[in-house]
Amino acid sequence: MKKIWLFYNIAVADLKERTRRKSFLIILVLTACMGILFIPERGSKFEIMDFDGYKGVYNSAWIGTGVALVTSIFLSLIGFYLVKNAVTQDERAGIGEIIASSPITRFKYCFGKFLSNVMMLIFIMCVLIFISGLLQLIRNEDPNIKIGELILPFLFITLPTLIIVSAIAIFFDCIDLLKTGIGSALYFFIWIFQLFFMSKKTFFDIMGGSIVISAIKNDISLLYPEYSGTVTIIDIGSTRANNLFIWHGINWTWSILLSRFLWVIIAVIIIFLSSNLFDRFSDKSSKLISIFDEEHESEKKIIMKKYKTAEMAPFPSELVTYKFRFFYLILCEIKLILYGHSIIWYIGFLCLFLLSVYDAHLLSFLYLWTIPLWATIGLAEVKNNTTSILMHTRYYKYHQLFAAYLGGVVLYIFVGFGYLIKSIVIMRNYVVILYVFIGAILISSISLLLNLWIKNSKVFELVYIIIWYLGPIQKVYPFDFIYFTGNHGVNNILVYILLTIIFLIFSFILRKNHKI
Amino acid sequence: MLQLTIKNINKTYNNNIHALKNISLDITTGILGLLGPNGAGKSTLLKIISTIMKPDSGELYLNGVNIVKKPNKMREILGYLPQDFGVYRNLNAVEFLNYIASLKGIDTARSKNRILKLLEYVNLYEYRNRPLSSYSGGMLQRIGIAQAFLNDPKVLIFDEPTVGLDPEERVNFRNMLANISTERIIILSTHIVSDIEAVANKIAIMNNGLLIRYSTPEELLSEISGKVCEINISSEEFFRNKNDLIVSNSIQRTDGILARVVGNNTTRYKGRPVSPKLEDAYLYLIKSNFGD
Repeated sequence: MKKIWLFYNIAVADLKERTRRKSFLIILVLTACMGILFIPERGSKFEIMDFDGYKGVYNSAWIGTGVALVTSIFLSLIGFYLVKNAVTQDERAGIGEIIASSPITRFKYCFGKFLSNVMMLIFIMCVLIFISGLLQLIRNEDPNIKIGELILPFLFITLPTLIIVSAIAIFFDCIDLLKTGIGSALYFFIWIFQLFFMSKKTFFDIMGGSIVISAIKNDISLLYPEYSGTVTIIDIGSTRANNLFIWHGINWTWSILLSRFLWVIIAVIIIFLSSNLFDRFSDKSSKLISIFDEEHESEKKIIMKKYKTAEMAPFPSELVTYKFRFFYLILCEIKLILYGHSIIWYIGFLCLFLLSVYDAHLLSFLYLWTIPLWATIGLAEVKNNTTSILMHTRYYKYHQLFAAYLGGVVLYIFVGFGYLIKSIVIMRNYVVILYVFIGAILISSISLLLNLWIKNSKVFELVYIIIWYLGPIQKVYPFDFIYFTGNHGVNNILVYILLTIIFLIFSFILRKNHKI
Repeated sequence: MLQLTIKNINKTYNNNIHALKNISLDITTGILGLLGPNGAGKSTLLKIISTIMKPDSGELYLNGVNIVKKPNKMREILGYLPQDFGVYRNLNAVEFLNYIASLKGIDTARSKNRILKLLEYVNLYEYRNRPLSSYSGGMLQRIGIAQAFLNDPKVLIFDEPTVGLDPEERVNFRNMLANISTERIIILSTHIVSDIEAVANKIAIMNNGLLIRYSTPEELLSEISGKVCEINISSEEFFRNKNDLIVSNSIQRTDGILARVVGNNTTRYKGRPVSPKLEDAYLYLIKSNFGD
């Protein structure tokens, strides 16, 4: 009983801390908007769960199951980025050493953090349940809300997914290499990989998609033998007919429940593993990730040994000459963005950079790998607590901000440089220059705005991954600023430029009003 | 001759904490020691003077120029060391100082020599190419001091500069301030009285957002002349009367406690009068203004 109370205390304290942040409020608003999108009006271009034109009437079973499945898919991606860094946060807040010196065991600590992750995601899931019920009434195809049919899919499909995602987030947070941007990129690749299991009835389907799809498919096949068996979970730009039928939901058999419950057990096992990997905020862990850090540690010891206070030299009498060098400032900002990543990140970057010259599709992965770069734009001062020492300088307020932005633009172009050269020299495709440039100014402005506004990079990472998933990977053309879809016209480019200008203006307004 | 005039400055934070209440000061070249307990409003005042925060009302003039309206006039000649600051830990000392120099508008192509001299001055030259992540707290504090000197400032503001410095470094820092104070305004905020006792020409004492005294150290000491004594007192009596006494120091002995006390009615303890120190004056003023 005492143990449960301890887990609860850790989880609630952590949950309170995280849910009181501005970013959480923004996520809740986005979640509510997403919920509305999941239950579109009939005839709209956006559809969820389309079975070759066959769709269920908006009753509790159809809405509950549909939203539960889409939530399971999206929260398994978005949720990870939301709850990651629960452990790192304690380290950054400076309470790591206090926790390390307390009698709490590693398992209890990790489990408490895991519970907090789960509770946070459940909070978001509850918002979606509420929105689902509300929209059933608004769409009014079957206003009779059946609580069980609406909620059970969330409990049996979505919840186990959220539990496993929460556990994976803790696991990533306990390994120094994975708690960085590398972990963010790696998780995205795992998620993409996981999507392949959705349509197959296999144990590895974490999101529970195969359970939902096979249940609905079976029911449609019984009603409409001519049904082709095609399934589209999310259909953007849908032109299919609406063949509506009444669906009564999934028959929750013991084998389904057991297969979902198994993920809860796996989550606990992951937490157990994580607690064994968790270093209790000890410095020793740094040897796992960064040889630079290790070098720093040994250098620190040498310096501390050698360092002795001595009489001060005469005060420098050189005349100070003033000349503001903006390009030098941009160079400094590029250094700040580029420095401090782990050696594995640099190696990964080099490999992907070279490979992207041969295969343009790898450019998407290269730009995902470089999330840690864009996640730093406009955030270096907050991360390093240098705001107070910079604010009194003459060129901090606007010049430094613009230099940081341009640093991001230059680096974005540099990342796509191999692809650019190949397109220009071999393929004679000069328009690519324009699209890499558009990507550079747009992504850097999104990063600058979100990082300045939220004061951490989580929301940007989330937005960036969604944009890359929908655009360059899924080729939904309004998001494809890198021109893989080939759908761009002059209007789109103008929209991207206009958005960039708007984001920059808002960034400068934020900097103008920034107070310490 | 520099003149910094602060007129009726007020500042209230969003949580309704009235951090500064009608503060007025005339500051000229030399060292001003700003004393006060935590939360007195010292840091807020320094942030306003260093132009990183605006007052709700009141004015600040530097040689007649309103620096609330024209902050760049102040920034050109300002060196500021905040109480709590970070550094870019992946940069080395030269790179970090170059970065700050560029933000101060210093010609970075010509500032290398000055940066190296400054690193020599703060005794970090030997470690100039090491990443700042390998520096100790005291060394980082010296980097903070070096960045404040980059533009050869005429106004220097140090907010709790001796935090993290060991006793020897603190002495060095005090000597350094004394050496360079002749043509500059130096404002030194601290709650460690001994840090400014030997170097400050003027002392400003703040409490609860109010300026409760602004005078020379000599005037402060004469104010409590005859009010400081050492008393031998039993532990029981000491703790019984603790709330009535202003104790600036106490030593536990086998026969009780040897306490240095300051106040208007210390004679009743039959103590030995001693010459007052700045710390006695500070405690006396803070405790007597506690209710304000």
